[in-house]
Amino acid sequence: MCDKNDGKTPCACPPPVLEKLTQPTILMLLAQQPTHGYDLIQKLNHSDCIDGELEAATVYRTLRRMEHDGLIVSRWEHGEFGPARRQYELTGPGREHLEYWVGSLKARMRQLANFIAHYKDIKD
Amino acid sequence: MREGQKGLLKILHAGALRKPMKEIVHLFREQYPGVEVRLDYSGSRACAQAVLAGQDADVIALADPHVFEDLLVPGHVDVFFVFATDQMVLAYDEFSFYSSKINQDNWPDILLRDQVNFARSDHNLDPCGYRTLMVWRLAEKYYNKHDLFNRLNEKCGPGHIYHKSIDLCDALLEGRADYAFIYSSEAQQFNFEHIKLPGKINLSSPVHAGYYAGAEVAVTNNNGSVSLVRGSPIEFAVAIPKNSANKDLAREFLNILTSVKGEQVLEECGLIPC
Repeated sequence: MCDKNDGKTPCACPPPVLEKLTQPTILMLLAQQPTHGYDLIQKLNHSDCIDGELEAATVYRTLRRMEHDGLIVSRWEHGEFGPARRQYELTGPGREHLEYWVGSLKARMRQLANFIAHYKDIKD
Repeated sequence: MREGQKGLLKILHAGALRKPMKEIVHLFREQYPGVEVRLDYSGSRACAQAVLAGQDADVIALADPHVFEDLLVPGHVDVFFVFATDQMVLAYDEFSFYSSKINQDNWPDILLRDQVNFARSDHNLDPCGYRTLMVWRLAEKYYNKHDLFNRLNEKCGPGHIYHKSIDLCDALLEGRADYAFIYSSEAQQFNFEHIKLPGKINLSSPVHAGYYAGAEVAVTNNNGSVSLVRGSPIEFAVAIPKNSANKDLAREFLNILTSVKGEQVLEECGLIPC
């Protein structure tokens, strides 16, 4: 057992950090339908692809960066009631980027499965 | 650059937007050097009341979209645009009592100590004022402290209530207040030390919108009518009023405010463009 153990949990080491899935999850949500930032923040935080709570500021900054990179595009949208908000939509390069993410994650899943299988071999 | 363009652009804005609005005007002047820009500011509800009383403006930028909905739509404004977000913080300076001891967990107890005084803005004039009352309501539940709202409210009497949140920054600088509830952007602009409040009470996140909505504050309008404001994530909104005498210039100003350069300015001022 690790020397940071507090006696209450199996190990006091932080959990292993894998890729943050904020960007691909935003791409996936926008692939379903155009959405404004307010709704995206709610959907992201209810998504089982995201670990922990994402701050609103983090999401808005990520959206601006993704728009700058041409993955998404925004326009002002307002309904009959309430304020107008910036609504985000996936672009062609954004769809390609989502495909790229899915390919990368599949490769990563294979690596992780191999890692766990190898560990089981050693343990057995 | 439209050097030949002349005219007058009147901007009425929330006090909390003082610095960002001045910076955006600088960007605007690079493109329209011949246009005179007049800035007038107050608490957002006071701004809206001024418009209702006949003050004319080409651009109105307020600290809460709800103020547009409550007072200016549909009579004076058709569409209003959400352009930035923020969060509530508890600001102080190094000479405030217990400044070396206060933290995210003990601030309610520190504020209630005898030597300490703290300030807020007027909830009838300024969204930061009713948002402060919402933070106190939510804190009572979050920290499970019985009667916290009433105790804070009783201690923060009329002598510690200012017209608008930007006035609280002066009060902190001059030592008239040890602590003040202001926006994170204001704390950053004035370089104040501040306690970042938990996400469930700082009114920052749409994730907690339902929780925030549990805090309601009654605000009294100039005509004596009362509006009920429900807690929600902090947003800033801007509009071109129906009677703007300079709609084209006003649209240009909004385009600059929401451009990449405009968003950089907002971010440098501590706001979160959205």
